This record gives sequence, C-alpha cells and structure tokens, in this order.
Amino acid sequence: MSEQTSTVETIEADSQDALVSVKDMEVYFPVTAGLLVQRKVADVKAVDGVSFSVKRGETLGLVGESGCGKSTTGKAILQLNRPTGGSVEFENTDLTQVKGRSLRQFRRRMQMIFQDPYASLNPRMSVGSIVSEPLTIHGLAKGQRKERVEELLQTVGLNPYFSSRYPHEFSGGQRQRIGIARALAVEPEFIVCDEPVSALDVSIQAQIINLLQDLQEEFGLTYLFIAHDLSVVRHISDRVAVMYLGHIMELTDRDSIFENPLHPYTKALLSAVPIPDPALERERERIILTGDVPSPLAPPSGCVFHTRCPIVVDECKTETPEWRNVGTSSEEHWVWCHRV
Amino acid sequence: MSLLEINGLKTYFYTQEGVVKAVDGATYSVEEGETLGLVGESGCGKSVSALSILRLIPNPPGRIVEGEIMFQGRDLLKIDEEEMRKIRGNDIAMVFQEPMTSLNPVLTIGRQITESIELHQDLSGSGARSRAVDLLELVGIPSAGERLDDYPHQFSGGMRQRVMIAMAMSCNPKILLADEPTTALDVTIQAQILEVMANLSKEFGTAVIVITHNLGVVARYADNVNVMYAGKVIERASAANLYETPHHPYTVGLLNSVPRLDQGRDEKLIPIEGNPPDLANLPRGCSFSPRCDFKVDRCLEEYPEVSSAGEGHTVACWEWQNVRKRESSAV
Repeated sequence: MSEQTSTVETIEADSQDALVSVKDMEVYFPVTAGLLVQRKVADVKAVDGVSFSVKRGETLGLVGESGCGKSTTGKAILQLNRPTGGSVEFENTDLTQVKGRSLRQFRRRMQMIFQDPYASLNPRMSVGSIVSEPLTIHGLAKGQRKERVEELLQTVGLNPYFSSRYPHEFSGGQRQRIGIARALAVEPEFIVCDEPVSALDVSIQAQIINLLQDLQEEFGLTYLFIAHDLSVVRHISDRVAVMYLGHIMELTDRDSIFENPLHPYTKALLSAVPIPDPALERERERIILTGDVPSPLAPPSGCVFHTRCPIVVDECKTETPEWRNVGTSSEEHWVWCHRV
Repeated sequence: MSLLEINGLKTYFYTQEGVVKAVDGATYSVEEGETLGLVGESGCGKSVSALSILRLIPNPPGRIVEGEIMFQGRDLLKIDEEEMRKIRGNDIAMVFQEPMTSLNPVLTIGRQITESIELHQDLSGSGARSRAVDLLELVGIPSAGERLDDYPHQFSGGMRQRVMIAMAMSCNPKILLADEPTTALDVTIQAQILEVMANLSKEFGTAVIVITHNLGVVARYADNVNVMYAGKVIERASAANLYETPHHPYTVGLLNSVPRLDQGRDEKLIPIEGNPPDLANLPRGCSFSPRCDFKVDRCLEEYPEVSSAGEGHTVACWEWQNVRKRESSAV
C-alpha cells in the first residue's frame, strides 16, 4: 500500500515538469509451448514494475547489465513494445491507452537513437531518403524536404552533399550521426538513446557524446540515455537509475549515485568499473560479486538481488522491498532495498 | 634477454582493395611475469600482432612479411610448423574475445580442456581428467567435477570465459595472450574474470599480454602499456607513467576523450577529430598526422623515430617534447 501512495505522491509533485512519467510499468514476454496450439507456459519478466519520471530538458541515465530490461523499458515508453501493465504518461496522456493515428502523433514527439549504427540504417536507402523518411511519414516540411535534410545533416556535423550517398560509404561514427539526424528530423521533444556510443571506438565516442549534449542545449531535448558504461552515463546524465533484473534498484541525481551510492548492487557495479588512473586504482576498494545474473524467467523471490547480495538477510529472500525515497523532497534518493 | 621480443613485425593482408598493413613495423618485448597492456582502437593491429606471435594469421590473404619474434632465444617465424605446434597452447596460449563462439558447441567442456593436456603433457584418460577438474576449480567454477561433462551452452558467458582461461592455463604457459578477454562481458563479470587472470599470473608467474581498448582495465591490471595506432607501437611506458605523463598526441587525445567514472559532466570531453586511418591507404609520414594538433611539416614526410622519454618510456613522435610542454602548462 505504502509503495503505491509514495509513487503517486512523487509523480504528482513532479507533474509540472515531468515530460514522461512511468508508473508501475511491467513488460512480460510470454513463453509458449505446443506445436499447433500455442499455450503460454511462463513469462519472461523483462520489466517488472518500474516507476520513474523524466523531467523536461533533463537527461535520465538508465544503467544496468545486459538482460536487465533497460532497452525494453526504453522501447515500452515509446510503445514499440506494449507494456503489459502500468502506465506511461507523456504530458499527462497515458500512452498505453492511445492507438492508431493519435499514437502516431505522439510518436512524432518522441524518437529513438539505436545502438548499432551498422544495423539501424537500411543499406539500400540513400542517406537523404533515410533522413527524410520520418518527414514523409508525418507529412512535414512539404515542398522543402531537400533543404530540410541538408540542414539536418549540417546540424549533426555531416556535409550536406552526403545525402545522395549510401550507408556503407560511412564510418561507424558518421553512421551514428545519420541516425541522430533521422531522429531529429521530426523535431521531437523526447529521445530514447539506446546505447548510442557503445558500438563506437573510444575516440569517436567522445564526438558523439558532445554532439548529443550540444543538440540537447540547442533544441531543449529530453533524453532517456540507456547504457551499460557507467562512466559515459555519469558524464552525460542529470539523474541516474540503476536497473537489475527488471527492477530499478536506485534512482537519484548523478553526483549522489556516484559519490554516495546506497544500494549494495550500485556499490558493486561502481567498484567494478576500472578508472584510467593507475594510482587511484591501487587505492580503490573492490566489491566482486559472485555468480551470474539469474534468469528473468524465474527471478528470485523477495528482492531479485538477494542471490548475489553481500549484505543479504532472511527478510530479503521472502519480502519484496518497497520503492521508497530516503532523500529529501527536493533531493530525492529512491532505493529498492530492505537494508538501506 | 626478454622472454619475448618482437622486432619490426609486419603483417600485411593482400586484399582486392590493396595491401592492408595491419601490423606495420611493431617492436616490443615482454619480460617474465610481466602484464603488458596493448591498447588502441579497432583496426590498430593489436589483435593481428597477437595472432602473429602464434602464427595464426590466415594465409591467404594474410602474411607476415618481415620481422622476427624471438621467444626464449628462438625466432618463431623461422621454425617449422611441427615445432610451432609444440609451442602453441603449451608455451604460449591464447584467450579469445568471444566466449560464445570460441568453444566447440558439440564437445563437452571436459573434452575441450583435456585435448590440449593430452597433446602437450604426458597425461591421458583419468590423469588428464583430474587435471581438468583442478583447472576448473582454479578459475572458480563451482562443483567442477560434475560440470566437466556439460556442453558450452549450459554455461553463461562469464563461465565460458573461465573455461577458456582454464584451457589456456592447462599447460602452464609462459605467455598468455588475452584478446579483449572481457569486452563481451558485463562489468561485474568483467571484474571477476580480470581478477582470476591477475591471480593466476601472480601464482604461476605467467606473462600476460592483455589486448583491450579499455583504458581503465589497463590502468588496473597492466605493469606496462603499449599504445598502438595504425599498426605501430607509438608509445610505450609503465602504466603509472603513461597515465601520468603521456607523450604522444594520440595517447593524450585518447585519455582526454574518455569519460571517467570519478568525474562529472562539468568537464567537456575533448574528442580526437577525424577518423582512424584506412590501413590500405595510409598517409605518408606519421599516420596520425591528419588528426594531430601538433603536426609540423616533417610529420607529413617522415615517420618519426622512436625517442626515449625517460626510463622505459619510448615515444614515436617528432614533437613529443612540445606535447609534453603544452600538457604540463595546461595542468
């Protein structure tokens, strides 16, 4: 009960400046068996009840290991995977209830940048038609699409005359710029960046991160930045949410999560990331977690982290923790743990 | 004499687009028990230089065209295939990047580990099996005896990488080559694997060459670091020196361009402009010159000599003293 009320309270408190509010969102994928008649035998609980909001103009970082449900969360907000429970409010409209033409109107306002710049551009389309396709779909910039495409390419740091070329002629970093131009084409307010730099070389990553930051400033964009690289997330985010096996473990502003992590999983995750400074590395304390991430098909009971938690007690194995704010109302610090 | 000395190694690939100079005159050495980090971006030749040590370059299209690889006083490029086979997996072993694809899916884990034990050591049957169990325990696989008859698909990514390390360590190699051993793994698993490797290297005195693009991993585990760019080692130093006082403009750029966990957003990243070079069509002179802030006319004509910049610190740059001056005044 108290979990419910506290969630509702924050969402109300944020409602003036929250662009996206996610409430108890669940995404379950059915596992079916049977050759002719498919029956459901189990659920993969990819996202199992997450609540958070993304404020207008901010970057919310979403970190976690592979399979923790971070990409599914991003897609479910955009209704690319329909959530199986809970709600996703975009400016006070519950997107899970919107369909067809009106959903498409919302889609113009939210876009996605994908992880793999080699797989997310159609190799048979020229750059110009890739970038102008969203304009065609949403009926924008009629009669001046060519100019608009050239302008977009310039915005992301590409030469406008590239529009007649094809994706294979570009490097990874340049392709990611094309993907960003495509996302920007419809002038969205909210962009889900799903691991936008993890496929790129280190020297190129910095170029794309800087570009994303410049664009945010220029167009007042709101980002949900999904990544597994904590250093990148720390650099770009205003607030950070840490996910593990379908649940958000901890959510607070960027500096608190890195300087004062409360959840044992966050602590372990941070200590596992090596810092490029040998002198500092020698001093650092490391928490090495044992074992692997359990399967989301049969997540552990109680707290899903209890099988690897260094400070586990009996309560963790049976009782589900509450999602509670242990900070103040102005400096929120949300955590999902019995022991904090 | 060093355990392994690589002199002027050149490995080229002859493709339709031209000659790809994957490794183009790399020179470095590895001492006994040392952990050497080989860092650089994709396509800088770090993996190919490791595969060249084991003579595992697919031919055609690849060929080692020049250089020598001295291992315990013998040039590995001059011995015949029979001799090489005795060294491969025995004296020099390798851990590959992709634990998902580098194990044979139709053989049990036990069979894959005992294979190299039987080949290289005087053990067979139950002897090899019990050695395999010991190895699995060494790399931290619980109830190792029962898991010996499992197939790779029954293991998670981190566990498979442990199996790979067990296989590589099965003959107590002098040198372990680890090619991006943790790139495919999550960070908490990465920490486990790196810890296992560091402990093994300490326990058995194995020299380790870690190939990675992650500057943090190198800072944590390596004694010395080679920075590679376009097939050449452009800077070599102890890990402490390299991060403290980088001399090559590329190393400086690389360190400035990675966000650090211990720093917030206030400091903007300084990217290296431009793209890594096309190895089939390298620029004249220094291959980094098109992206370099410090370039002078000479850089466009002549590849820089390797200069000594302190003890154990070498750098291939004409302008390294100016780089150093500007960097120290910036601080």
